[in-house]
Amino acid sequence: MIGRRAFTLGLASLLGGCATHHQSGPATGLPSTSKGYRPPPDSDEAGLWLAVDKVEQAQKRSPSRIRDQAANALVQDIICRLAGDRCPELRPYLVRVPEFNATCSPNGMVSVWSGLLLRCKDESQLAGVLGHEIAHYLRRHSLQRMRDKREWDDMMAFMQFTLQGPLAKTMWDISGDVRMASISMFSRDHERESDEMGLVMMADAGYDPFACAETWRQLIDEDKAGDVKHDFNFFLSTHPATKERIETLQQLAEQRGRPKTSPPNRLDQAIRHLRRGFMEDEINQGRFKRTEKLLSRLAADGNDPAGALYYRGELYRRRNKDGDEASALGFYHESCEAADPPAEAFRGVGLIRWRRGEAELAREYFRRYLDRAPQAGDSDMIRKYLSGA
Amino acid sequence: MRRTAGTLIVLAAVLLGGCGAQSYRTTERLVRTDAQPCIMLMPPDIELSERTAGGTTELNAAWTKAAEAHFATALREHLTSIGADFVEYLPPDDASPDAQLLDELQSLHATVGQAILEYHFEPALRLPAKKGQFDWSLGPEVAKLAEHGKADYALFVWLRDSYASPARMALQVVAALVVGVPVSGGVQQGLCSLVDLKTGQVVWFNALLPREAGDMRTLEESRATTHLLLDRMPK
Repeated sequence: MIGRRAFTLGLASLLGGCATHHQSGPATGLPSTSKGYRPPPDSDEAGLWLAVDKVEQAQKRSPSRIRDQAANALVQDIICRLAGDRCPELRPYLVRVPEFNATCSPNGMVSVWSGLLLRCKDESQLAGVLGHEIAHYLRRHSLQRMRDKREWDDMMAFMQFTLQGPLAKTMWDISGDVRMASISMFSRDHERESDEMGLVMMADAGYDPFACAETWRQLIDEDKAGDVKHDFNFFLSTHPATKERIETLQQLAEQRGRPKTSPPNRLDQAIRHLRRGFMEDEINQGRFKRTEKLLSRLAADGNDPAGALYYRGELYRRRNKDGDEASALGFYHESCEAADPPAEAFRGVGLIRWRRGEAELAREYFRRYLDRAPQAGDSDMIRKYLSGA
Repeated sequence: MRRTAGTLIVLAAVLLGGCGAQSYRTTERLVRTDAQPCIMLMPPDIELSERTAGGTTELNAAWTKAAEAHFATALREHLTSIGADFVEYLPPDDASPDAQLLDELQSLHATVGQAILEYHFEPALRLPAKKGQFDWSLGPEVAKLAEHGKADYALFVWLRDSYASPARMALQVVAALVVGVPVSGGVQQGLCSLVDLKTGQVVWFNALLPREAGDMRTLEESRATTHLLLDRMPK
């Protein structure tokens, strides 16, 4: 990293002192900002902030924004516990996207995707991810990466006009490869730094540091299920291999130890009423294996087994391959027996029983469906089944 | 001189892109009535950036802010000087669906404007289905904007302006000395449309083609750019 930079700067000064930002160094080179920091108006950093200000403006107005008060209040509170006096600079936006992700932009906009909220077993897991993202913000990683890429691209532009002779093409190609590998390596260094800082922040705030590695184990499980492929490329990946991250996070957690008092866990309370909508988004993704893995884990983690079982049933019903109807029926039944089942689980049982000619059993479940959802949009149709038509 | 390094490059730019000051216009869809029409000024979409040696543009916050202020002044001066009636668009609350509509229409305006440039003004690319007519629209949803200011037409403006970074200027010198190839500097370009608030139809359109001239960072130059964009607007 340092060698390459020296080369860039050497070349740059040779060609007229053109590199305008010399202060970036290796991954840890740029100083963290202090409380209330705003970039100088004429700086490249201010431009970066303005660009994300525009994204934030759109985010504010987006129909996919989750405006639910309880969920927003919890995320804001976790951010404040993690960021301390930097909390006023960070503005969370909950977004309905069924993927595991959160981002923290250089201007302090924090995006938390619904797929992340759904996958977090407890508040500690969510705090771990938020801590990681806040670390990116505090360490100004976006700015560092922007400058790193600019230096590379500027250097390549000069090489384009100055490389001469028979080896020019080879040198150009090699430089291009080194550029890609170096930019990716720089990014991986940032991810490692954020993993470590995030874990320290969440453990300091009283959360369970072992939750960080656990989150990644869950993700590996989903990925292994098959229908989404992530190949790790040693040179070009922008994030370290998940296995390496798990090992490091596990080691760091062991150094910290479990928290002395039980960590806050208000997640279920804050998103309970949203979770089933998130599950529905997941089954709409059309990734059967992955979603099956996720829902079976959610059914086991105890936050909303009835909901997870119902949507698992829906997943099978929609795929409708050999034996899927029987699986769907099984999950609907299990959902009906669990605490606080969705009304639709009873309808699910009723419809399959009806198709199988088990009219009496079907009617019983239709009645239970209507008891729970008398105003449902399809209630007239269900009453037709009951009246024996 | 801040845009490019050396007269050589300026000369090449003039030779290669000499049509820079030319602007397109059309009034084909405009139907005049006796009453003086009123124009609603949509928030202009302006970005000023630095163009790096590597060729990417990096937004500059200070320049953009200055350009927005200069354009606001120059636009109002211009409209007043031609005696046009105009009102400001009153942006709705962020939570309102209309706020998002504005974002979408701003993006759509830039996209439609580029399409007009390509498929109306390039004779070879003219779309047969248009049958030679100037027929472009931002869609009937535009009518909702009329609730945020009483007017007949909305004026949309999209402006991009960039300046060579010090590294790019050095690259221009190196390229000129070593291989004699001109490397372009910063570029200014713009689009503006007058849109019928009842139908969404673009009734008048003007494009400022990419040119290595102009400077939205100063009020005087901003006036010149505004003039190029708007001087053929129907009075």
